[in-house]
Amino acid sequence: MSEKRPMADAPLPASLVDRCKTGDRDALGEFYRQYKNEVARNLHRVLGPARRQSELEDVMQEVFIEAFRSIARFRGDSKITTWLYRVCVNVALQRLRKVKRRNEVSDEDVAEFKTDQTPEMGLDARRRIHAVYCILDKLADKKRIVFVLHEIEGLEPKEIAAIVGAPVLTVRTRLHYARKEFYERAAKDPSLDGVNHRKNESNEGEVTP
Amino acid sequence: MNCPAPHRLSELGKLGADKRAEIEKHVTSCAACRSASARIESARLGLSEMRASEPPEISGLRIEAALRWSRPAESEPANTSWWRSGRTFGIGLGFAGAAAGLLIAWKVTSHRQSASPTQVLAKAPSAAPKVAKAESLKAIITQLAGKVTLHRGGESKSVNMRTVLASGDRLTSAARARVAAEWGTDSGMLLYSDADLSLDRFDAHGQKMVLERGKLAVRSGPHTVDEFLEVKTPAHLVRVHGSWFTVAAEGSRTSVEVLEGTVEVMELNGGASTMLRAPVRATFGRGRTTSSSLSAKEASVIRTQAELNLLPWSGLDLAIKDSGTFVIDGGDANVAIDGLSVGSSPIAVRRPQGKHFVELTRPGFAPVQKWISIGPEEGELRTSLVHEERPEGDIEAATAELEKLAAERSRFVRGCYERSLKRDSSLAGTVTLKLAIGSVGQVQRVSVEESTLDDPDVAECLKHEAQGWSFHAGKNATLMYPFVFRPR
Repeated sequence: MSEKRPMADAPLPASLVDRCKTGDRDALGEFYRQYKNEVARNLHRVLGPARRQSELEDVMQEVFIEAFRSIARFRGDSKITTWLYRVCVNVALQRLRKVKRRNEVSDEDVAEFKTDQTPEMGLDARRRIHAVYCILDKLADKKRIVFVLHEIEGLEPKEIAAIVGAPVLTVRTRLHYARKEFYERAAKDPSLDGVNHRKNESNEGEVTP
Repeated sequence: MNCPAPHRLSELGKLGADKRAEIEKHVTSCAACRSASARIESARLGLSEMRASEPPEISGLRIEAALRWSRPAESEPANTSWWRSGRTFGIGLGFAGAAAGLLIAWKVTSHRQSASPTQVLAKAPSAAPKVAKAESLKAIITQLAGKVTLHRGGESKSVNMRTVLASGDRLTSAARARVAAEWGTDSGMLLYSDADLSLDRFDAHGQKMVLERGKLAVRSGPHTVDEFLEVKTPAHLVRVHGSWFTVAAEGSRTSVEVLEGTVEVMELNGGASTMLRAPVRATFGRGRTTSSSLSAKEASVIRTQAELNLLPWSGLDLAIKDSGTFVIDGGDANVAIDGLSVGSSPIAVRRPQGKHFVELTRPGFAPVQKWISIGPEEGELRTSLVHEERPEGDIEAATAELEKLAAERSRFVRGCYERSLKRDSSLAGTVTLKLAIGSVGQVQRVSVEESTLDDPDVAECLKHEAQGWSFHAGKNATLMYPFVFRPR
């Protein structure tokens, strides 16, 4: 994988965590500023590109509120980044379940939620990414998380095991079944037709009525 | 050979040469496998693109404001041994022309004795161990911009960062002024410009304020049932049962926005009483009330605007000793400290000792961002805001070129609309795009300024189309262009 460490392991002064534990608002502010970009990147990859920036902001807010609420229980058994990653993944899981519940009512919402917002990307790329997240939406949450952490974030099963709190073997098994299901679904997905060439990304063919 | 499982097709690179050749041979001769293989390749491409894609830029102001007011888990009390006496940090701000560079000079002056006031200091209400019932409260100024006058005992003088407010004080703020003060744990107020506020009663048991005109944001920290905080406007009495609200008085009209907790609003002539539960906004006139719920987003925006700049509170004397003041001189830059916008300079802001992130922005100038420490000694930073080079483009020529481009690309522009028209045959309206053209004529940014079409996909598709356009005239210009669509 090209990018190995989604959360930078910059040394975090122990005193900052300690100050966060005491509820020191300035320390919490510092903590937020240090990790906001990593958290945004992680959520962006796990949940897929949000239609509106405010959606990503909402989830980020939930992550940090949850982190601040539970940082007092952080005992230093793992790296602070791994711990924060776990919080991200848990909040993302809740979010996915919420979106799935809405999906039972209306398919439209999920389709909208998944529409990409980054204009610099080619239309083909946006369609591909949209199709990928539509397939991921159909995977069981636990499979989806390990698949994304491995295939997109580039984490090793051992690291994923620490984040999701499962044995390495379980993670490997989940990953195997997730891959199997993902590519089976991809092979049958007609929305992936005709979008597999990076170079043909002129939008001319796309907007022609 | 049978058709291989799709996930095997995705890992051809991991197979041995013979096995791989066998599968590839099969795929070339089997139409179903060819199609599956192409789709899998697209999916793999999508995954790698997602790996490289970055999330949208997050300003974070809203989140930071929300986090500031979230209540972190209670834990052991803060160790305050690192506190030292408070000091001032001055930022001298100049504006330089396009040719001038950014000048930063750093000066540390010798340690000076703290100028803490000599008043008898009161404890915060209920946060600290229970205080005597009528013990008077004092409030420190935590943020000051513009001219604010303090009327005390028949005398009037300007408020400064050393002023300590007490019962009986009256504050009047001039245009573009604002002042924030704090008197206990999570308890403070922010008085906006053109306002008149009296602290009628200000003790640990209750705080009564009279707002003759203008707008006030108040946040009341933890308190017991027999403690209260109220704000009287010319026609109403707003009494807090919760924690954070803003109140504005304009003649007999009182507007209240409740951000946290519950607020009771009573008519002063003994009329109706209304309970408002957060988040809500309500306006009370003579016998007429309108109220509407605030969405979480609106409440967040108001919180950001009503930033009270509260400090960790451990009593007035400690709060003064443990903090320092940023004084930002020089005109009209927007100032944000630790991600929170505190208003425009000149402004003075009190913050706890330690590192703070100061951002100065002004349209047309390059932003200045600095980490600055408030330590035991005074510091000074002189910095110039430098004009960003951005000569005005030739708007007329660019508009003419844009019209020409839109006509040349009309097939694709119209295509964006007609794809959605297939879903909704009555779809019609106007999409106005805002295009920022860069220095070499490329389209730097496209945003949808306004859209009266029901289908957001049309605007998205148009944005994408316009992204690829390039201009010969009008470099560095910003253009707005309406695209009108109706069925033919």
